[in-house]
Amino acid sequence: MRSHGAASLAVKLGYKNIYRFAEGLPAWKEMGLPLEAGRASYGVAGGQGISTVIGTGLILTLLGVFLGGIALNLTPCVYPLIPITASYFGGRSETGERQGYLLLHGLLYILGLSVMNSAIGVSAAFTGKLMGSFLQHPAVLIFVSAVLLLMALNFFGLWELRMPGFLSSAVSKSHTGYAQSLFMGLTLGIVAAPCIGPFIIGLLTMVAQKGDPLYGFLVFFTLSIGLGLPLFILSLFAGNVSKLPRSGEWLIWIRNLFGWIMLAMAVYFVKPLFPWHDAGTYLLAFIALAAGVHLGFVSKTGKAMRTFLVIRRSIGVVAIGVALFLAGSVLLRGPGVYWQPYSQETFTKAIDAKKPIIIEFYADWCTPCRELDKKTFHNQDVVKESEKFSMIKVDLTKETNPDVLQLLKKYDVKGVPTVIFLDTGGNEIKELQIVDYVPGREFLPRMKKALEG
Amino acid sequence: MKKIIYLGFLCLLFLSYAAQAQSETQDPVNTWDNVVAEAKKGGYQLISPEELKNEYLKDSTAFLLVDVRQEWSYQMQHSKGSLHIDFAPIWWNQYSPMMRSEMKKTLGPDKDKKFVFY
Repeated sequence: MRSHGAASLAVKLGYKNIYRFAEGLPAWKEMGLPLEAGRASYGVAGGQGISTVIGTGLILTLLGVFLGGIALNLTPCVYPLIPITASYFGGRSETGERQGYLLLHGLLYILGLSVMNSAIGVSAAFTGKLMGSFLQHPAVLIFVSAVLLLMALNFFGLWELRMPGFLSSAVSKSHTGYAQSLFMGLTLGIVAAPCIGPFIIGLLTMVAQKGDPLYGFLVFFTLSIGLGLPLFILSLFAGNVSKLPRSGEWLIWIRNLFGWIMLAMAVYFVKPLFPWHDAGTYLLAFIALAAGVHLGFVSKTGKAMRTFLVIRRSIGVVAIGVALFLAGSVLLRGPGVYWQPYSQETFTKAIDAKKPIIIEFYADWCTPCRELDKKTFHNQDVVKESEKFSMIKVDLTKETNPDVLQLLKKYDVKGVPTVIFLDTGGNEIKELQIVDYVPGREFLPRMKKALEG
Repeated sequence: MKKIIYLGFLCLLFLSYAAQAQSETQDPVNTWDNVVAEAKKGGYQLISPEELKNEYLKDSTAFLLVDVRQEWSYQMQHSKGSLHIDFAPIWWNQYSPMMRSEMKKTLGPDKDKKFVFY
C-alpha cells in the first residue's frame, strides 16, 4: 500500500523509470542482500507533517473552520462593522468606480485578512513544533482550558473584554484607496478580537499541537475566506446593505452560541486528563444537551423574528442530536480499555507495579489498529480483564524519539498494530505477540496466559 | 406537527448512528492480482525478487532503492544505501504539496534514473 502510493506519486511527478518491489524488505533479507541501520544519510528524513492528518478529517475540519468563519460575522464585534465596511465600498461605487474596481477592492480586503491570519497560523505551527510535548503537558492543557472557560464566561456576558484604546484609534484612522481596502482587511482581526479571539485561540492551540506549518496555513486561510466572504459579496452589491437584519438582541443569542462552543472546547482539551476514560465524552454530551435546550428553547431572545426563531430551534435540535450521538457512541460501545500513553516514566512505573504489562504499538492511519480499538478493546470481558494489567499505548504516527526506537528494537516490532505481553518481571512473553487485528475471543486467552505466566 | 418532525429527525439521527456502529467494516483482500492492477493504475512497473537480486549483483549503482516505510522501520533496518521517504498510506499524500516536494528533493532532478520502491 505504501510503496504503491509512493511509486504512483513518483510517476505523476514525471519520473519515468519507476519500479515497485512489492515483496519488500523481508524478501531482500532472505536473498542475503546487504542491509544497514540508522538515519537517512541522504534525502529528507521525517517530514510526515500534514500527511498524518487523515484526508476526510482534514476536509471536514476545513469545512467546519470555513463555516465558523462565516458564523463569526454574526458576533457583536463584527456584525456592526459590516454596514460600515459595506458603505465604504458603496462610497467607492458612488464616486464612480466601476464594478471591476470594486471587485479589486473586495479582493484586496480578503487578501489583507488572509495574510494576517495565515501568518498567525503558520507561526503557531512553527512554535508548536518547537514546543512539541509541552502542549501535551497536563498543566498546559489545564491552562488552555481555563482560558477557554474564561472566554466562555465572557460570551455568556459575565464579564467584558475591551481592547486597548490606542489600538482601536490606530485602526479607525483613515487611509485612502486600495491601500485602505488592504489595511481594513489586515485590521479586521484586531477590531474583532474581543469576539473572535477566543475562537482563534482555540484554533491556534489545535494548529500548534499538530505542529505542521501547511496545516496552520490551510486552517487560517480557510478561516479568513469564511470571515471575509460575506463582506466581499456585500462589497459587490453595496446597495443592499439596508436589507440586512438590524443588529439587536438576537446578537446576544449568537454570543451565547459561541459561549457554548468555547465551553465544549474547554472540556475537549482536558478530556485526556480525566481518570475515568469516558467521563469527558459524557461531559461533552451534557454540554451539547444543555446548549441545545438553552439555545433552542429556553433563551427568550428574538421571539418577534420568525426566521430567527426557526434557525434557533433547528440549532437547538442539532445540538441535542449531537448530545445523543456522543452519549450513544459511548453507551452502545460500552466503556473501553484504559490506556496510558507511553513515556519512560509510565513504563518504569508499570514495571514497579508488579503487574503484567500489555503494550500496543499503533498509528493513526492504520485501519486494523482502529478495529482493535473499536472492537477488541471495547469487548467487556477484555476491558474487565485489562484491569489486572498495566495497559500502555505507543503512538508511532509521528517521528519517533530514540527512547521509543530502543523499545521497538528490544521487542522486535516490525509494523502496526503490534501488541506485546510482558510478565510481572518485565520480560516479554514472545509467543503471545499479536501483529494484526484479532477479535476479543482470541485476545482473551492470551491475557489469561499472561496472567498465569 | 412541528414537534413530531423534530422528534422524527432525532430518532433518525440516533438510528442511523446505531446502524453504523453495528455494521462491520471489511478490508479489501490484498492478492497478487490487486498488486498487478494497482501497478497498472499507478503507471509503474513491478520487479520480482530474482530480477532485483540479479540486477543488484550485476551493478548496484544502476538504480536506487527507495524505502517508504515509517521512519522508525527505516532506522532499525533497511537495504544498504536506500533512500527514505516516510509515505503514510493515505490518499491525501498523492496531493500533499509537502509530500510532492519531499519526493522531488529525495529523488533528485534526474527523471530517467531508475528507482525501486519498497
